[in-house]
Amino acid sequence: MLVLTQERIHLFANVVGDAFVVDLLIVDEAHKIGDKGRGVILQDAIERAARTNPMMKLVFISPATQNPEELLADAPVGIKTVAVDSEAPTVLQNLLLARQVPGKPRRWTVETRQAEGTIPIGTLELANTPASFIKRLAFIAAAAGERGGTLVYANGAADSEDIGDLISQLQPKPHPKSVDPELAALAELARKGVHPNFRLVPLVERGVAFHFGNMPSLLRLEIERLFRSGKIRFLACTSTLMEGVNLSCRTIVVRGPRKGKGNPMEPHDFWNLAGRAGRWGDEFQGNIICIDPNDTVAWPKGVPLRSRYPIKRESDAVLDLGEGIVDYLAKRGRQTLSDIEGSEEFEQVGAYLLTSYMRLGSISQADLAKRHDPAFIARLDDVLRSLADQLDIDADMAARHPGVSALGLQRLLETFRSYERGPENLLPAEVASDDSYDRFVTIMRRINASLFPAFEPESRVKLYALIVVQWLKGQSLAEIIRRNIAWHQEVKRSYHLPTLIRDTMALVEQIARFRAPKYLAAYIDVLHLHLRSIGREDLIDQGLDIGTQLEFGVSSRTLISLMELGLSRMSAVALYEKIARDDLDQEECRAWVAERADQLDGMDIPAIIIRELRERLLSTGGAGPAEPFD
Amino acid sequence: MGARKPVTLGPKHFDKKGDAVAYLKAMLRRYDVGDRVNATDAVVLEAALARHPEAKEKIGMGVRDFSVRSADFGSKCFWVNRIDGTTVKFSHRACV
Repeated sequence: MLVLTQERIHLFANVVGDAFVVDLLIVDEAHKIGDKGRGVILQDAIERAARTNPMMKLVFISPATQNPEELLADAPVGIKTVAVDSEAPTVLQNLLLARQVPGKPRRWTVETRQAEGTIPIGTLELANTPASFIKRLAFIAAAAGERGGTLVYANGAADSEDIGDLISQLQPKPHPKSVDPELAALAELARKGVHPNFRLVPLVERGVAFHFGNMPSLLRLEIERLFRSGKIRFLACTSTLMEGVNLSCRTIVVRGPRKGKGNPMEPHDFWNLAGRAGRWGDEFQGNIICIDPNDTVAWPKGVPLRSRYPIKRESDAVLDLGEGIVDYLAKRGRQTLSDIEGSEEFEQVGAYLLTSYMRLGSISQADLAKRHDPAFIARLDDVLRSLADQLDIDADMAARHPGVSALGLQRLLETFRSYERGPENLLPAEVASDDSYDRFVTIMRRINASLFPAFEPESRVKLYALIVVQWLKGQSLAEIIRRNIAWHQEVKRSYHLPTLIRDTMALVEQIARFRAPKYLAAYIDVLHLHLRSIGREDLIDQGLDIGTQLEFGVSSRTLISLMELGLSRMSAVALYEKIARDDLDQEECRAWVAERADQLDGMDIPAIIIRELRERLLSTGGAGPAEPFD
Repeated sequence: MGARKPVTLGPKHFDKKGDAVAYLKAMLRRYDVGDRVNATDAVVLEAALARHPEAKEKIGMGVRDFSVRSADFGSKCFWVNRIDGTTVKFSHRACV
């Protein structure tokens, strides 16, 4: 069984080729087929799997859905489908509204909202005055959730750190010798794996933590585990929680939740978040505490009512907007991308439509056509035909790079064709070579100019290239952060440590692990096409593809072997620092660890990493992947 | 008025220094950072490097090939890649 995001299904399918065999595909949180930008990638992944696996069974799961049958609308003719509509609540949820008593900033009334109105259930006395919104969240969580199992929803990573910090100040400071060993081990991992002054370190010793998507997965998974076991009693988290992290809680505390950069959360997402309350241990009820429910800035549409919400595919939503997508595609064929408005809204769906057109010869043959006006589909076909006529890129290549426009691939191919200084210079240089960093700078600029402005602004290209090189070299996050600090000190530029740590994590996740693999894999694919067409197959490297190298942040055989054995990158990198040879296969890695099984504890490796090493490399049981491919 | 000093860089002959500098500058401009210099240009560049005031130090064990890479302050310059795997940058202006 594999757990994958939509992007990684495509990556996986590209790597295994004909061996992409799926018997059963389960799409959890299936309403995300409507997400802007990534919804159409999910749709494309599902359709791709269904196309290559005609016998595949497909299950969609989505909470509080008005129209689950919508997801079955594109099932092939003759395939049996059934929509299972279940209303049965599995847990009892209390929606609690917390309001400040006028003139008494520390006193808060709590009411429960029922179908017929609200019922007062008591008051909360806070120990301190909650002067800011962050403090309101922190103090109310601390007062109402002291039994543990308390999640606090923060609008962003920086807020989650601040909230965690405030809550921790209200917890008793444990005697250094009485800190729980598991919490101490987590603090050690945060210290050695990120930075000695990472804000998480002092918090976890008091049973408080924060959690956001750009954290290394080993750290995040351990935080989640200790929250489930009750040792972490308060957890401040971000919208990552709704993106596939399955964590139940006893109480969730929310004030004016936002999703992404400041957009008020949709009711659907709010109830998805609220759904985390309940199922704590063997309990069957949970509390959702909404702070300042009457504040129209915090809750522009009030605290959402519990109801069902419609599912709509992103592709259908864009087509329903009317001529916008047709105009966009017409311009996309003529102008460079940076001159066109609406690229955020239309680029991904436009790429999907063009790829579908190339495969089918007409959008009228696509499943979505039946939901739209035939005259509109005909106009769409016209503009797509004029685009497809310009292309030497074939449908297969376009399909391998979902969300990357075939027009961009074509422009890049033309850039390669008109390049005059020897095709060797178009390839990335090995990361160990001196040219590597500069070569990535130029490649990223070339991608910006021809394929998609993925590495803009231009002033950041060098930073992005540096992160990619460090990541591919197998440097640890801690080392990348250390070097970033050293650079700031060297050029006498001021920095704020918590922000620098968060920014570095974000660069690794968003650039090295997300954008770079997506666009560099496309770059290399087009380059290989070009090299074959000019008879320079000799330049094509048959080794591990750049997309996979970037995903995992490894380029040496030993590191790849360690991760193939199921280690997280953090553990693999920590261990690799102790291993001299860079060409070990899986068995040799196992043997290296087995020979040193008794010395591991003395190697100054964090205890949580040692635990993972023992579980993955020394146990005789099957070693599955350490982390979902999230 | 100083006398015109002709300069020869491998197969290329220039009537005056300024022309040689301009030629090397144009060559540098043709390349992106990260590029290896092609064989034709490398012949000229190797002849130029031999005239560098620190030619001996720059050449070291011997020249394998040349790259264009980043220099200080966001600019770019030629780098010599030596046969022992080490690399060092040099100013093309200093060569003429």
